[in-house]
Amino acid sequence: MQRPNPREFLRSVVEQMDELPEGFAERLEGLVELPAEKRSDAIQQLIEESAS
Amino acid sequence: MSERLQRLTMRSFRGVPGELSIDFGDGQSIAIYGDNGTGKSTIADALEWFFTGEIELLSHEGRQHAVCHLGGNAGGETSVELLTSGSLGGKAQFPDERASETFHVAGRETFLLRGRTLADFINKSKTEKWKALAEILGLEAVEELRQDLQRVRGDLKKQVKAAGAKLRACETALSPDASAVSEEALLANVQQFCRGLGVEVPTSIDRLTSAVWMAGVAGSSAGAPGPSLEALVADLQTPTVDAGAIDAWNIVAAPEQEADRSRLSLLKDGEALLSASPSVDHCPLCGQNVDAAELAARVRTALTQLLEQSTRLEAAREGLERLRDELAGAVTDRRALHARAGSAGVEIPPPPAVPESLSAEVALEGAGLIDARDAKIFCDAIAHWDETAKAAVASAPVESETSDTRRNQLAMLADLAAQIQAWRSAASEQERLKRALALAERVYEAYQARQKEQLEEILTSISERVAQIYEGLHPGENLGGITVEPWTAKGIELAVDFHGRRQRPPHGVLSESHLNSLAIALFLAMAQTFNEQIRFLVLDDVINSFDIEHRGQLAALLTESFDDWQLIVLTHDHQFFENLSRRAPAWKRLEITSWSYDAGPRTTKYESVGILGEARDRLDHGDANGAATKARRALEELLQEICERLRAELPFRRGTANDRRELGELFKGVRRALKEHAKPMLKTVEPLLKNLEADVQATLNVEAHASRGKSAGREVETALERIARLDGLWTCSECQTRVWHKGTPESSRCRCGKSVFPPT
Repeated sequence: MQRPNPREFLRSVVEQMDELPEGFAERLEGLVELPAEKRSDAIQQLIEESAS
Repeated sequence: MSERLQRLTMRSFRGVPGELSIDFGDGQSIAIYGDNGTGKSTIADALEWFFTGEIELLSHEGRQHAVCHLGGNAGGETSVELLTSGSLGGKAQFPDERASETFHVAGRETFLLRGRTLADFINKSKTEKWKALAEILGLEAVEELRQDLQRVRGDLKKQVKAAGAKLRACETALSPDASAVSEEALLANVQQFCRGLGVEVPTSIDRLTSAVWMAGVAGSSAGAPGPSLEALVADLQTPTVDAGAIDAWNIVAAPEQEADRSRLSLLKDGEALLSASPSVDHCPLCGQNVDAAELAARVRTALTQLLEQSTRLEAAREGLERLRDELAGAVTDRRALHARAGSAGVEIPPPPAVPESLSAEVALEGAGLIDARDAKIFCDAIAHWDETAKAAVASAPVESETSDTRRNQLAMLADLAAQIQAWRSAASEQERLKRALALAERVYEAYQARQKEQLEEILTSISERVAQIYEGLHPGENLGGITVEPWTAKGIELAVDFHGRRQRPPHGVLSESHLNSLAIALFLAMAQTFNEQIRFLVLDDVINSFDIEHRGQLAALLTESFDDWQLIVLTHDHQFFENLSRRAPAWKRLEITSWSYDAGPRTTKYESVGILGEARDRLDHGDANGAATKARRALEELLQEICERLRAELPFRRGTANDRRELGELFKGVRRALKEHAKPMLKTVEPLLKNLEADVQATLNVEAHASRGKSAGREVETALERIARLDGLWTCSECQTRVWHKGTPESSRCRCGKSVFPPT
């Protein structure tokens, strides 16, 4: 059994979601690679931008 | 790539004072036997330390230094060197300064199970089990991302709450009586205020909150005070009623004109539709097929006929609208005046409202006749109000309105506008954050649901393997339904069916040995399911709680179901060791016979040549004492080997204490064996043996020659040469293999057949 890769795992999640803002899924996936201490801030910023 | 171990070398590590190598061939499984305290767990320790950077037993404070052998050579290194079939090998040296990435693979994959920690996983709490599983499965990274999403959701929730509180504060400031705040009401309020102050009346909330408007208000505040209340009252003009406009409207709005109005309205609609769709082939009103051009011509003709009436109608409408605007403007001005008078402390009654019949939107549809008397009554009421206002202002104190008052009122207006702006901004911010929160919640919930789904898939897969392996260890026992299952949001637990009753966790119904079997099954299932790079498993004394039957079951399981794995099984149970060796002849075997502080673990494999090499190395580096110690150890090893191979008769000693025989006993054993199997050889060798006995007394006794400097070095050199000569007597010069007495002359030959025993 393959260990889950966080990026692929996230992709499998967002692929199942309808009506996400344009480009949101790709940008969110990109943030997975960020250092842990920066990640949640970056995700929050992306979500706020996308929801505006 | 799946990797196996090929060679492990420990130097001054744990129970190994010098160097000890374990040869795994090209990755074969191996059974290692040794009594308690012979140093076999040092092998497991070395692998644990190499792959994880620590030894769990020594992880507590104050124990880390025990990685090094206490009697290790001063200045010598403590290290573990590993050769594998892939990239996992290398060398680790104490103090360990390897980067954390080095331990990445071992952190994710299962490779070591020890008897002393066998039930650790079983005994962990459900939350700890989840964490351990997450670590092994690499779910940590996925879990960290979930925590990030959860954190974002939590932060946004807090921000929405804070924005709501801010919005409520703004609303309270704008509406102290807690009535609902609306843009329309606020705008009307401000407009009234502005009219009273004679500043620009904003036409919308956007205008009100614009910087231009705010600048205008500020300018009014700083500049002239504006017209006085008296001047405003004096300027009031009572509106007059345009009776002609009302009459004209009443004519066109009369019921008898209804048919023409309807016809006119219909024709206008028809013309508009034909203009928008000139190519229609049917009537857009009734749907009948028509010629479009002909229909348009007919509509225009009818419109021309009604043109006069249409013109009259439009003129009446315009006249009525003018009247309506005039009346409404009169009321608005008076309301502003009323507000301004109120702020100046002058009491005037509110102005009358425009009658409904005069304020309605002017339209043909549903239009009614207007009673001119209503207009007259209204105008009279306005005139009366004007007189009242003039009287009230005239009787008010002179200082009722000063420039200071106006400035204060303008400042209040500016404050009100600023509050409205803040309220709108707070409302907008709250909306923005609510949208962000909704998105964050959607992503988080979808992520969590997928995570749960994935965990269930993994647990199902593990459960099937655990059940299968456990059945192999305990065939036919009444235990079924073994599963590893989710328990609460962040926990997993083992569960079994015990005589038809579900037990989760199973500790209450299973014996210690059954729980240990479950732990072994879980360990093996995890490795089978998830290991990608590590293809070897180390099991260190895992059968302590097993009876003989279950030891046999485990031996069968390991040799039959895990024959595609490299297993390193360490045990102090000789029967289990032999069982493994019989079942799997291809496995390597290693017996550790004893351990001593100076020499460390001794195995059944003699190492005299290697130790002799180490002694020479010490001597080359000027360490005569170290060389003497090694030389004595090499001689001891060689004499033991000769005694064993020539089946020397030695005095009976209970147990397996041959390793602890004195050198004198060994010399006697060699002489007895040679006397029996190769008497002529004894005569040749005897001088060498005597010299070596003398070396042992004089040179290889470290305490005796400890301070003799260079002369001691030369004596050790001579002793080393003698030991090498004795070793060479049993080694073929051509093929370098040993040659011993083996019963017949033919069998007592070296591999190449050139050397025989006894030598000719």
